[in-house]
Amino acid sequence: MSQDRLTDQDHDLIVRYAHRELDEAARLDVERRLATDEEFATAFEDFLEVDLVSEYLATQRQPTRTGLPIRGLALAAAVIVAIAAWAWFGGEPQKSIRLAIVPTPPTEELAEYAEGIGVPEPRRVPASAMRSVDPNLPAVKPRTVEEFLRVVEDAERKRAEESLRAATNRATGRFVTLRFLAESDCSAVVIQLDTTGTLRRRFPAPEGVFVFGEADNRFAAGKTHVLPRPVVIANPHRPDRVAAHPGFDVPSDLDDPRIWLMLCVRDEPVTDALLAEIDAKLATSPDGEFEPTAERIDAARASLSEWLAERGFSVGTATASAN
Amino acid sequence: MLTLTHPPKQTDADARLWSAASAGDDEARGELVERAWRSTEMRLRSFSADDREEIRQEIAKSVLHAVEIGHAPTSNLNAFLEWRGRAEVTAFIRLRIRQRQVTALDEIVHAAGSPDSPLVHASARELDAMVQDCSDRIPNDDHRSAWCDRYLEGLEPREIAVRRDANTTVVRAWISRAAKFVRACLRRKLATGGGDS
Repeated sequence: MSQDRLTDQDHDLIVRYAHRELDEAARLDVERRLATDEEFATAFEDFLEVDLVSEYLATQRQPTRTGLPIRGLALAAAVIVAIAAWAWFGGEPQKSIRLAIVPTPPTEELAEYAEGIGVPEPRRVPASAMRSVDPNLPAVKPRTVEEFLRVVEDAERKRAEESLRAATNRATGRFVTLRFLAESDCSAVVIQLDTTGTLRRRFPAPEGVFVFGEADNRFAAGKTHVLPRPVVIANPHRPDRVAAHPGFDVPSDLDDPRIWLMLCVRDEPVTDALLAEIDAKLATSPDGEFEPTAERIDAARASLSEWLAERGFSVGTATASAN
Repeated sequence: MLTLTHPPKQTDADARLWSAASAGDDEARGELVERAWRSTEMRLRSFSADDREEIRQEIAKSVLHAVEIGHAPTSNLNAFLEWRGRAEVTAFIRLRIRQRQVTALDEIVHAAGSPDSPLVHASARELDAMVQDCSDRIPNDDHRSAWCDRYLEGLEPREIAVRRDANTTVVRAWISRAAKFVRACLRRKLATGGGDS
């Protein structure tokens, strides 16, 4: 094999460029090098070929949730995330789930939130509703709640489509929403696993946890859905106001502020009795007594996924990190 | 080694074209998109019309995003557009692989940029056995572990970094260096009819 004169940073760039993990400026810089540095370009092409072929071969070996392979059930647990994924357990193919996780910009000020999701400046200020809350907002032509919700919905739909297309399985931020596209009408449960090993139901919201305007637990096939609910909705009690909810939070009291959100869907409704059974199962988790190793977390998720598969659920997982 | 087919520098005409596109000239933007597409199109002969159109749209978005972001390419414009187009093709192929919608190895290899690769001459089963054997032969322990974590267990570099108590940048370098070894090993095996390398 020829001498490799590339540095670790060069190889890091090669992998990140191949996997589209660079920002635009860094991407342009890599493309400049690809166009001018033969050794770098050759190394990139070599990596890309083996990388894609190995991913392909991996999918051929055995069913997996990421498209990448797993050697045996214990190692299956090591697959951390599953996006645009097929969840297969118990030998029977499960429903396919296209899932993405999307961070929520700050919602304390709706104008800031609107800016965060790419709504053009003149359209960021919603209705008179928010002006009544904050008199310092700039004086712009008042907009109706309907108009504001429409531009927000368009921007969020675009974000969801891009995230689903890119199979975005990780998000950084204090708050996130899940976006998913189901292949058939279904109901859902979202379970959270954190780095202490604690399992908790997040959707439908457990009794006593109030999420204003939570989504109905029935989701139509072929549409993109948001959980726990769209970030901004019309206030059902005050039609001239909007209500904002940033979504699932990453608990701030975790030493390692990461959570895994397991989206579990099945065609049949999720009954109260089934929710009670799920809660009882989650209550057996080693709450707060968990050494946060990757292996322990993976094992906990794999075990729960199998248990859910036995109850007709397909499971996709996404990760949120507050850092 | 790959031979670069484009002169490295930007021509004056291309610099003007980029400036015009940045200033919002639709005709200039259209030409950039068209050039990116033309440089990529030949890789997509086996793709359906719908797939080709989807990729064309992604290429257009990607090129126009680069235009709008305000960073001008300093290298040869055709080379930049070609790499940009290839990146979209690669992303499309990777997504299809993960969705299990790719059934032919040569489709991957051709789209990835190596139409003359010997990898297309082996069946998926033969190649898989070779990859696994080559993986076991990676001489550096760190490189081998990272490679196996990535392609045999499906972990992301960040997760491997946690497992191996290493920096994610270093893990990506391990994976890339391992890939270089595996590719060379595969080529040797294929050149010798699948025998030991």
